[in-house]
Amino acid sequence: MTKLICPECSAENDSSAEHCCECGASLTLENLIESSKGEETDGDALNRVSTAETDLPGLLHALKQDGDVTDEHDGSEPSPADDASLPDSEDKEEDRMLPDWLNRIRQRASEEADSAGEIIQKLSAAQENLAKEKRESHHEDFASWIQNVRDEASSSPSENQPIDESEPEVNLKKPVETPEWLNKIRKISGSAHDDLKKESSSYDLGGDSLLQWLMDLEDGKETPEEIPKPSLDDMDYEYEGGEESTPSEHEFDGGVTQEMRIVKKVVPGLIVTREEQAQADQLEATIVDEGASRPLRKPGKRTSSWVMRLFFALLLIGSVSFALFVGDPPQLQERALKDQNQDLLTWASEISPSESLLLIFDYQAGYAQEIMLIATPVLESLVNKEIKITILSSAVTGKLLAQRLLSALEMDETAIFDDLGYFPAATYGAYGLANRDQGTWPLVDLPEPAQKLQAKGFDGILILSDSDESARSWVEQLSALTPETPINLLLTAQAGPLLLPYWESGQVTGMISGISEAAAIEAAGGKETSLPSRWRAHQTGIVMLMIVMLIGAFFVVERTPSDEGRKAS
Amino acid sequence: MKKILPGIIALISGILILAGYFFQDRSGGLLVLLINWGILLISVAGLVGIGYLLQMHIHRLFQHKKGRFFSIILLVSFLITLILGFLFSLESAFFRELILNIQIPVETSLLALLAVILFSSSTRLIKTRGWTPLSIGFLCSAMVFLFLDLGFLQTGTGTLAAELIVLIRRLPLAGARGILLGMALGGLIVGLRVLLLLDRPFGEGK
Amino acid sequence: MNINELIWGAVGFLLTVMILSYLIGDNFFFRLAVHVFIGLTGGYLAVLIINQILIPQLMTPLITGSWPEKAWFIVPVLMITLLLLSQIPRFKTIGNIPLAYLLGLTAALAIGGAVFGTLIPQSRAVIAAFDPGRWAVDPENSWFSILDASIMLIGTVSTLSYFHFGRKRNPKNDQEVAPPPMIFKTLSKIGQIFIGITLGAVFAGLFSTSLVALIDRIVFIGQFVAQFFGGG
Repeated sequence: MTKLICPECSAENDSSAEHCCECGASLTLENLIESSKGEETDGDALNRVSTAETDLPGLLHALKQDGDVTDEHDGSEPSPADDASLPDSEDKEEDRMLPDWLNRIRQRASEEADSAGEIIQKLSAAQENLAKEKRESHHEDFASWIQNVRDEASSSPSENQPIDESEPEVNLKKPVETPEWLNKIRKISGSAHDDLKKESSSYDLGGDSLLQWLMDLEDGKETPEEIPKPSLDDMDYEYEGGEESTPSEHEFDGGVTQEMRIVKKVVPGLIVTREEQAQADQLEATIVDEGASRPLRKPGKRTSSWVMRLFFALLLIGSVSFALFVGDPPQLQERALKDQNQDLLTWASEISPSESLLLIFDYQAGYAQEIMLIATPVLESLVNKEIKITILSSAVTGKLLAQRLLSALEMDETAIFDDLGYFPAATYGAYGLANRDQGTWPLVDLPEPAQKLQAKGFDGILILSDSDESARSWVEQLSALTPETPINLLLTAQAGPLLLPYWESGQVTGMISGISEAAAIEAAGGKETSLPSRWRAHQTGIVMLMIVMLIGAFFVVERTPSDEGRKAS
Repeated sequence: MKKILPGIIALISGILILAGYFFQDRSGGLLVLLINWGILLISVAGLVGIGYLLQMHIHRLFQHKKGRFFSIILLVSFLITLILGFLFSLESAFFRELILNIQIPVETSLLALLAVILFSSSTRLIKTRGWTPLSIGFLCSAMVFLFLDLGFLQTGTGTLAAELIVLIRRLPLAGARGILLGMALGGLIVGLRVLLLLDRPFGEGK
Repeated sequence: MNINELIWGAVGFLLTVMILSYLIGDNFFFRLAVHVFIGLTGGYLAVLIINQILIPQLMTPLITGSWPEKAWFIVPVLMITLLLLSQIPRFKTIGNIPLAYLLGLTAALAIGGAVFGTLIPQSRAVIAAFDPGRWAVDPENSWFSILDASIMLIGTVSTLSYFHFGRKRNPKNDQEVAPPPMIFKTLSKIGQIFIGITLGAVFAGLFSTSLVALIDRIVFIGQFVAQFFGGG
């Protein structure tokens, strides 16, 4: 079917069209370019693919080296000079439609070998014009192309239909793999014709990317550093590897139809940004990684794995149980408190009864026991001061855990609690609380819930948290927006180390983290709890871990096969 | 327009919130309102997420896929909790006991499993990574801090040993600060990319 | 032990044993306990969101509030509607609007928190350690203060160097495209040590936390068995 290619935007139009369907440009005889597509046989298409696959890079390579194309490729490659062998009538028809500059190039190409650089420049100039127009749309195509590739990867090989217009972005990076892909497609019966057309365009695109690269080199631009491109020699070798047939003169006739088709289809390939290229590489690496064979786990290995785990479990549980249940609870040994612990205790002792305190429950049910051991002495000293306490929860079960913890405290009946409820996101809650004043630009008739969020100012904030991440959200927002309010932390041992800098910088007034510090505080004069027996069991478990780690570091035998596999994968 | 509008909304909402850090004394009411809208949206998104979970298990149930027994268990426990939650309030002692007496054993046991797994895998901590500055620092630090937390080591105040222990205890602070600064820089870059419309995660899936 | 304690104790005991049975491998009982837990948590979360947020903060003001008050809810109601409609595949894209709003909020909060909550105060803390006024507080141990400040500075800078945000890597093989400057290499090695030290401390904390949980379960099982068989 004959198609008309718009000279302005290169869009394909029906032969009967008078104006371009894309840009509305007039498709008069002088302007239009006729593209006789689809009239080739399958064999022609096959040849075209192989031509596009092999000729363009080879030609460009030869051009780049300022050498004779025909010499470089042993006569099998077409060259502009080959145009002379075209049938006269066809040649004249095309010459009439050719732009002047291309005619001049042809003339120069036939006269001097050094015209190659100019050919490239002219071609690229035309391509860049089109590229500018299509850049935006191509950028959007990338996301859909990624989706397509994912879909194809997840579908069966027989369902893999080539090929998205932006496919060459992969081809650019992995030209070696394309022959396999090409062979697969060729084996698919019935769809060869259409598929090969697409392949043709895709290979054209790949060649054009090389062209663009050569252009950059000629212009003295730097090659993108972060995206290593195949070297010219590599490219040559790879494409030569895919060479299957000798191109005919017609296939690379240099005529308008062929060249303009390159211009049209090639354009998207030119607009591969570095970011997109990196994304494509990453995706490709992921796909390759997903397809890579995984080391098989031998059943025997699994069995020994859980046996070892069970052995260690029994060792740990046995030793801890022994420390827990055998003998009387020990006396906690008094030791020096850490500075951050001392600061928190000082703050708690200095808070006066008229002041208000915000308690933030930001821990999960699994950490309830540890938090209870840490928080009980501090909270008991606070609630019995008749200060006004407001509760807020940013963990799912925080509200219930707050009720349980507070009900377990020994306190006077006069303790007052106000519940601000549940905040699904710590950062949002912290920001909302910190911006608690209406400000000088108040909103009229602000709804009740929003006003509720604007809690009254607090004289102190105590955060009970199991995670350094959510505690950090609170500290970051509150210390930035209400730096005058003292913030204190009661944390699990795992959250402590990464939050210590906030205490050191003064954003946090004091903190206690972990059962070790809780034991030190209790030994320093706190109330007796169930901590001593647990603390002894804890010490036993820690000692066991130290022994196992030392043995593992110095005496454990070589790496297991599963480790090797994991590392390899 | 479909792509521009979300970008503009993200930009405006982001700028308003950022303004709160500079004009807190003026625009508190508006900021709280914006945050309140956000909380409402997050809540609804949470419900949508729960809906997805249920949909997946219902699908598995009716498609007779493997593991449908567990899907039934999950759906039944979900429904019972939902019904009881609406029948009793969140302040109800019974409902609190129901939730906590299931959540605490399960979550605590999962953590206990972690203890055993850490214990058993600690034999391979170094062998897996090899002897590198990081692994040496890791091993030494873990040993020292585990030992210090035991409380066996006692020193008099003001002695050189006490000063050294303080210094050793402060060593993780330097690395932690570097990590925090690194995370903050990462968060800053990602946030700026979103607000400057360089990244538009909400535009995907079209 | 009353009947209430007995029932909840038995439930807790069974769930604990079921989860710990994972030690001998993934099995039916472990999965059963996990699915019960997920279903219960999902149900509770739904109740919590509806009872604690949607009803008091959205439904009640919409029903009982004055018209000016109701006007403040036009935007959130609209966005919630869009979010819900986006679950229908045909209207999937309109969900981008509420998501964009949330994303804008979250990004701004992340920027504000990072800059005003971490970058500025933490950098200031590193610099403030070199304040001679601090060293003068305890003249006898001023060498210690200087040493401490220097270590903190080196540790922080070298840790940041280890991350080295500008480093370009080839995504295919994760190799650096260009070798980093020598100063970065040296600092990176030092940074590795500091990161190792910090991670070691975090590991010690993580094990401590999980060990407390293990001890709690052992105590719980011991108490339940003792009470059940001892009639306590």
